[in-house]
Amino acid sequence: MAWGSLPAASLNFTLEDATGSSSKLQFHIPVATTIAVALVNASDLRPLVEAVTDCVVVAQSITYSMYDPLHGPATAGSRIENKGVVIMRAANGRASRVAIPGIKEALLNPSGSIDRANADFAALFTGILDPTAIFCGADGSDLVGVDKAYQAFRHSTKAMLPTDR
Amino acid sequence: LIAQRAQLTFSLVDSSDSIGNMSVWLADGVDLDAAVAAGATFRGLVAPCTDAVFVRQSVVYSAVVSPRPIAPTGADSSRVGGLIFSCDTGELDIIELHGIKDEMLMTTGPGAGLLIDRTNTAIVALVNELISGLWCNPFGYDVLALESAYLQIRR
Repeated sequence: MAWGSLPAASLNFTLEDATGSSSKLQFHIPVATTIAVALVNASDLRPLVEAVTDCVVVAQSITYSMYDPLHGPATAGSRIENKGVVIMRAANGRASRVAIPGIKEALLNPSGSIDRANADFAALFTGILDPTAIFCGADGSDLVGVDKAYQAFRHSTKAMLPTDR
Repeated sequence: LIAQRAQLTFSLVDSSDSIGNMSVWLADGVDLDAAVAAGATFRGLVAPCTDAVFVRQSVVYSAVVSPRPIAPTGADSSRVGGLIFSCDTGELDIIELHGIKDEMLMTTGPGAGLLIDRTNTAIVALVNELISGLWCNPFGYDVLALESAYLQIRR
């Protein structure tokens, strides 16, 4: 493993035209730029963009990415369509979902549910649900428990099909 | 502008080189260093549970404009202003302005209706911001100067 940052973070504005069609307008900032500065830069740039386009800016996102060019090989036969879906319970009673691509067979019960007593699964959700962890539901509510955990399959896209088919 | 809470997104690759993604939300006010550290922790916890391997991690700070604005009649995202900038060490950067206004285009001369008017005050203001030293191309090279600007039609 050799995780490293991409050299630039991206600022994306989502534009929308009169028909409701959306498009992306992308800019880049040096990766060392803090998020606070990046947000100020985005605020400065947005009106300048709006002055030259008939479209309207409806959203923005700033993305900092890292990658591992020296990652090891995936386990033979692994398929990312094979998901381990976990529905978590938030403190406010709402649900939050996470899906693990390529879930290991060793974590599964014969029924297709996930074995919650499995040590690796237990360690994962002990870590996620730890009150000191910074993971949360989409609305910011703390994650407090696992409601459901099961295997589910996503259909393969054309790009995922074997090249020698 | 209403800020959403930050999100960690991950890409994993399987033995067929297919890419799968997963994501988790982060608590309010999380700075980038804390988010990156949380990502490393998360990868370490998930790795024993998957046969795929992690190849990419992103921290995404999103916001939406509220109330949602409505584009004026005639706004057309297929009309794209292509701005080509030179960058450090001979690199280039391309900015694609969807829905470019008609008044940004030259009205006379051989490039009328096609070339973007580089003297238009709105274009000058945008270009000056982009060459201010704050912006770079995807490879991290500073944007230096506008080299070419013209209309493209995307269909």
